[in-house]
Amino acid sequence: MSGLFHTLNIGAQSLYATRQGVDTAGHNIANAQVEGYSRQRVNLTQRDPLETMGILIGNGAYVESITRSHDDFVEKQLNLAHQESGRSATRAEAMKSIEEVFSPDLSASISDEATKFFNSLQNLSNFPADATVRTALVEAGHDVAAAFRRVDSSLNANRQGLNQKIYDIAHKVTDSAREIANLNVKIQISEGGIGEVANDLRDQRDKLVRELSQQIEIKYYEDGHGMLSIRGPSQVTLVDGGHSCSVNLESNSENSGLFDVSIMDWEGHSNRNVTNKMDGGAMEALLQVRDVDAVKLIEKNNHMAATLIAEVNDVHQQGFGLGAFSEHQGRNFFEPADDFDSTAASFAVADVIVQSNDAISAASTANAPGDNVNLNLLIKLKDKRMFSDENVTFNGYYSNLTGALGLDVVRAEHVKSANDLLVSNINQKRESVSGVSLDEEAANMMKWQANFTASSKVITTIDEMLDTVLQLKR
Amino acid sequence: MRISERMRYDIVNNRVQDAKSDNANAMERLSSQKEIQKLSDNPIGAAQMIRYRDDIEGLRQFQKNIEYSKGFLDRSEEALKSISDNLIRAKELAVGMANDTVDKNSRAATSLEIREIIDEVTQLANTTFNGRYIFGGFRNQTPCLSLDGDYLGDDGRIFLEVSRGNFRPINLVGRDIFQASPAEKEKGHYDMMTALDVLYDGMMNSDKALMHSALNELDFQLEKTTNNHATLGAIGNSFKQSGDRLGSEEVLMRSRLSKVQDTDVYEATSDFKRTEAVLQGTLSSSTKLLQPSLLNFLQ
Repeated sequence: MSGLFHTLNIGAQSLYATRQGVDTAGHNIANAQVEGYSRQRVNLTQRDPLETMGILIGNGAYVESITRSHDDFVEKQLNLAHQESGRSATRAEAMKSIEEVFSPDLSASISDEATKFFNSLQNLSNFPADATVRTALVEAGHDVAAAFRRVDSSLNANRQGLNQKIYDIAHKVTDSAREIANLNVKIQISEGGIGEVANDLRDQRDKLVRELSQQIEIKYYEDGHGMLSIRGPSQVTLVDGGHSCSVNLESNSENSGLFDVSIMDWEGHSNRNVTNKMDGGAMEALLQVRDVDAVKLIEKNNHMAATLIAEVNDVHQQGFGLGAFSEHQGRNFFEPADDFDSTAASFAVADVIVQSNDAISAASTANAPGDNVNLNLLIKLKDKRMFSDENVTFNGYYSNLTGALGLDVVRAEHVKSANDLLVSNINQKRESVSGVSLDEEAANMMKWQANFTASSKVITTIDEMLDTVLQLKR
Repeated sequence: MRISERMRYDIVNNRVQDAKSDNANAMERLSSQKEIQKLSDNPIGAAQMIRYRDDIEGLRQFQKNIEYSKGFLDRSEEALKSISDNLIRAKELAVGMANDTVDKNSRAATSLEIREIIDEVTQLANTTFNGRYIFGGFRNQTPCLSLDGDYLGDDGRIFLEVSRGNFRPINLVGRDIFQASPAEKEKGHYDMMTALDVLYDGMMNSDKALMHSALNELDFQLEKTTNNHATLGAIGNSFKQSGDRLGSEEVLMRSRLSKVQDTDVYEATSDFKRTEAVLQGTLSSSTKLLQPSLLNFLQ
């Protein structure tokens, strides 16, 4: 049988529920600007009615649960998009820094220096015996050599820089995996006993997963205990329940001592090398630019250097010099490289030329100081189609190379902006579901406040009624 | 669509960033006056720029080559002109002295003048330009004609590139000027100095037959010299034309380069104005977008 105290109880419960509403609104407002936060909602439910003398009487309301507004599907989409955007943004950034090596603004580019070198040959062709003009040619040779060396060292420095970033990301991935494993445990503990959903912990874990997906390729699923299992490149397990892997780096002596990436499980047993097995995330982009794009450019630079050195030397060896060299042939103008990979790095004017500019072989006949025939043969190299099956000139090859690089950068930027747009669209979707709106919270607060006021009115009314009942006795 | 707080801030942030970066781009183009700063600004244009620059430097070098060779050619022409003058003078003297009325002593006296002409022609043959003996072929650091009239140079022809792939000779080889070719010798012609020597001997010894044969030979030498002179003139003319053409080609090439690499100032200015307006609009609407909230109206 219900009485006044029963009604008093309904009022008190209602006070509690509405206070909880204000609480949650406050929590939402406090987290309005927190990244990854999903707004929470108080779910009030009617209590089961009581049967009193054949009548079912309402029994008030109670807080059944507090849930977060969250859409798993959108979250998955967002993580996929992050994987792509992490890769494309990193690639665009890395390519841009390589692009600077070949900046057209640079006045000491290989192309400019080669042009100057050929013009110095022309000048010497005008005055084959002039010592000053000979010295100028040697200087121009030094400049060409320096331009090649600069490109080579800049590209290698870029590879080192990317390597450092790979190091940073490897540590980030290890840290994130560990934190996710910790959260797995916490979530299991908080949810396990009471069948509740640990909203805030899950928000934190979602945020970490999102960050992780920007760095490295991942696939994940949730097991029955609310724990997240994450697999990385080539299906290697990154997180399994409360365990997490560590990402290890080993320098690879076959790749200039740059890092290979491997993933080791928590027991330290298996260590899988996943360097060439990435598919998505910043890590893949960094490895790709470091080991493919930059390497290709370094090779092209070496190829260009090797071809120029060979062609110039071939002609130069046919000629005669001045003074002590006026009856001798067979000298190189540029020092030939010992092996292809270090051609550009070791590019230099031959010692014999550096020591005496009389060694420059301008003449095609012995003892002929005015002979410029060999110089003219050297000059013709400028227009000689010496690259790509004798289809492209030296300068053509260089301009093709830079054009292609420029297009690569443009493509990388396009992909990046497309992915940025995608991420921002999906993010809007996510925000639309999970984001906090202050207006809404203000309205909610007003609602709960009004409810709170009304509930307390119920209590004071019951109080007055009790007074009335107590006065009956007097 | 439900709009959350973070969405509003993100939208404002993105829009302001976009407007700012457009505006900064336009300003960059305007202040640097360069359309292409990075390869990715216009990859095709950047590649063209590299080619055009190389072409322009090449054209300038060809013009320089022509400029350098001009002095050489002028000097050669002057020398040949003076040699012709001397030959004509020798011929005049020979014609005058071949007359029967002239006595032996006058001929002997005039022979001294022929000797001077011989010296002078030898000197002219050894004309230098910038320390180079211009008729010596490739052996041009040493005199090309000995005092005995022997040619000491070689047959080297100095070629210079005057337009892409087009190498032209700038020198005449002394052997062609001063020495009779085997074919000419077969026809009974002499070397130039021999012809003058024969004339000198004829005068000295008052040998009219010798003088006559020398006179005929001088006609031949004069014709040969004049032909060589004409060859030089032709080279000089073609160089001048090439030079003019190179100049206009360079102008053309520069305008092409400028089209690719330089900012169109009017366009960039209007871009700047436009993006500036967009930026200001975005900023002022942003403040309005961020302000209102139900909280502002709650007491």
